[in-house]
Parts: sequence; C-alpha cells; structure tokens
Amino acid sequence: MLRKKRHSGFFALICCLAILFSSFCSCSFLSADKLLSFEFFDYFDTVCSLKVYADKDEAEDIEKKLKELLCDYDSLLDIYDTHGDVINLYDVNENAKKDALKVDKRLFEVLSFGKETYELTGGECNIALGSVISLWHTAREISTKDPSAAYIPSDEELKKALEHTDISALVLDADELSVSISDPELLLDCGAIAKGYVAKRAAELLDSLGCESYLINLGGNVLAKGEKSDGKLWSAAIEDADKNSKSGILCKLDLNSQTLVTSGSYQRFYTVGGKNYSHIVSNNDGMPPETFVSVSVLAPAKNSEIADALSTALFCMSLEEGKALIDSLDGVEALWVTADGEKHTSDGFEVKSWS
Amino acid sequence: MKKNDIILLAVIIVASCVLLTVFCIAYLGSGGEVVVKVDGKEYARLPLDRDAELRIDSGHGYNLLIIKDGKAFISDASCPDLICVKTGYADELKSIVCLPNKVTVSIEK
Repeated sequence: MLRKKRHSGFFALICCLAILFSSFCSCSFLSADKLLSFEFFDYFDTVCSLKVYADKDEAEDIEKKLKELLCDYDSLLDIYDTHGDVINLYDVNENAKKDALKVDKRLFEVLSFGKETYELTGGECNIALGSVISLWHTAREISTKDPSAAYIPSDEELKKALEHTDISALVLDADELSVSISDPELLLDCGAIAKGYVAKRAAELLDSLGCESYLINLGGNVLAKGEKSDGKLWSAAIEDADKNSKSGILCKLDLNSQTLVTSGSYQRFYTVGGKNYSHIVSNNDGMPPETFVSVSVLAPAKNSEIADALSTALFCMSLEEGKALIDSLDGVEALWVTADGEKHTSDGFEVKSWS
Repeated sequence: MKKNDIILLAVIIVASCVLLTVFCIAYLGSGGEVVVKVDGKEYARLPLDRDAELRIDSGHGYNLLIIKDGKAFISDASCPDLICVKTGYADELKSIVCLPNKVTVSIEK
C-alpha cells in the first residue's frame, strides 16, 4: 500500500514537471529570440534594414557589427571621395593609372568579383563603365536642381566615354593584392554590384554570429534566411511601377533562403523635355535602356551577390537574351515588366500572389 | 493516484493552458500597427485600425502621416523627391521610406 502510494506520488510529480517544463518551453520559445529590427541611413545612398531573430542581449553587438560592415564597404566603394585611412575606389580611380596600387583585401575581392560578373553577363554588367555613368550622374544632378537647365549627355561625349570602358584595362594581381588601370580615362564604378555583394557579406556576418533567421534589405536587395517565429517563410514584395496601381504592389513571393533584387527605372530617374531617363546605363550605347520598367531576379541566398549584377544586366538585354541567360543558371529565376506593362517570367519563378 | 494528486494535476494542467493562451494572445493577437522610425529609432507606434494624423518632425524635415480606413500613407512632406508620398500605402512587405528625412513607416502585424 505504502509502495503504491509513493509510486503514484512520483508519477504525479513527473507529470507536473513535464507540464511545467513544456509550458516553460513554449513560453521561452515565444520570448527568448526576439524579432529585432535595425535601420541605417548613411550607407550606399539608400536605407539598409535588417530584421533578425536573436536574443535581446545580442542586439547591440549585432547592430554594431553590421553597421561597421556597411560603413567599411561604403567607404571602400565610394567613388566621390577619398577616406584617408583606407584606400578606396576613388583612390584607385585617381592613383592606379601610373603604378599598381596595393589595396585592402575586401576591395580587391569586390573588383575580382566585378570582373567575374562581366564574364557571366556577357559584358552587360560592367564595373568599368564609370566614365559613362559619371556623365549621366552629373547631368542628373544639374537637371534635378534646376529643371529649366535639364539636359542629357551629348552623343559625342557618350561616344568618347564609351571608348574607355574596356574592363581588360583593369589588371588585378592576387599575390600582391594590387590594382592597376592601363587606360588613364577609365573609371571604375561598382554601383551595379555593390549592394548585392554587401548583402551577401552581411549574411555571412549574421551566420557567423549564430543568427539563423533574418531578412536583410539593402535598398531593394532583399536576402532572407530561415523561418519567422510563426514557422512561415519570410516574404517580399515587388513594387508595381504603374502609378495607377492601388496597392503599389505587383506581386508577393516567399523567400526560402533566397535573395530578390529588382532593378527598375520607375523610381530613380530624371526628366528632360517630358522624357524620363533612368539611372541604369547600357554598356552598349551608353544610354538608359527603355525596354523594361523593372527586372527582378530571384536567386539562392548563397549566390546572392550575382542577383544584383544580373538584374542590371537583364535590364540592358532583350527579353530573349535575358531568358537564355537565366535558363543557363541553376536556381536563378527572373521577372520582367516591359514598358507596356507586360509581365514575363522564367519557368521557375513562383509567385505567392499577384495583386 | 490519490484524489489530491488528481486535483493537483488538473490544477497544473489548467494553469499551464491558461498561461500558454495568455502568452499566445499577447504574442499573436495584437492587430496591425503602424511603426514610425526616425534614423532607426522608434518615433511612434499607432494602431492601424484607428484613423489618425501625425506630423513626423524628424529634425531633417517633416512628413505628414495619415492613417485612414486601415491604411497608412504619407500625404505631404518637406523632402525634395517626395518618393515617400508617391509610394502610396504602406504594407507589411512594403515600408514607406523617406531617405532625406531618414523616416520609415512600416506595418507590423
């Protein structure tokens, strides 16, 4: 009798512990990893945001390290100013013409990657297009400030600048980590690849900090990993370039450890004589392409750096050429929206909902 | 098992369930909120289901936030590009961003 009583008491205790433990677990599941969110306004001329599930105590550390990474790459890839303590792209453009210039390993890797993207995109994404882009940049700045003086670069200027965009003039020495440019008129501009490349580096940083679920958004370069606390995937939306669209959203999609990058002409442009000119410039004729209003590229998170370069390249290619390029790449999909509002997708482009 | 054991067990089960429900409701049950941030810091948090107007003075300029019929948008702003106004309604997946004023408006559900 005594034995039986003890036994049932023990059983009850185990039950209690089990229930307490399970409710504790469910509570801690709900509260331990908080959804933290950060925003940075000072880098890459855009807003950089991060949502991440992590312990609240780690928030400061994550924010600080991410900010440092964004700040470092922003300085390294700045083409308008020198940053003193580190040799950046501005310094390379200024000083790597006569002698080879030894650079930071991180900058060297971006430039190597820039050369790879040139090969991958058949020259449509070219980091050596700086002299052409700067003509447009100056024209846009002046025209935006004073619309009555709005102009576009002349054919002559563009033709001349296009003669100095041969990427083979960029010589990289991996042993010395040095860079030289054999064409004195050539300018490097990593604008077309920077955000995608840095998004990948930011993801690597978060991985190294033990973060398993996050959404990075560097001005439209979205990279997601893991699941949200409700067990669902992160999702992202593609904006509708059509001004009359009610929701302003073209479609929504789930990101399963994927990256989504959109290149569009609908947000950053300027107007001359009633005609809009986008900030994306073609490597072929030095003009902003007009075939599409936006091109979005979806790629596995591990290849996120190429998605940015590809979206720029596809924007400059014809639909047929672009489709052929996308079909040749594993796990990479794309959505094209033409100037007439027609939508085209590659075969594996899965949309959660069209609006 | 004795009667008291069963009572204790029942009490603990009920208590656990209540606790769990409370946590779940606190965690999931909150309706949509409009979150305004200035330079990355939370500036205001408003319920999406109550009509409201808020002038966001960010120190860099102003943005006028309107919440009406469950939708949030910027109706006017001091920035030169007015991209925030052109963006239209904020969505869970589409924040409104004003780069010059360092303002973001996002929806949290």
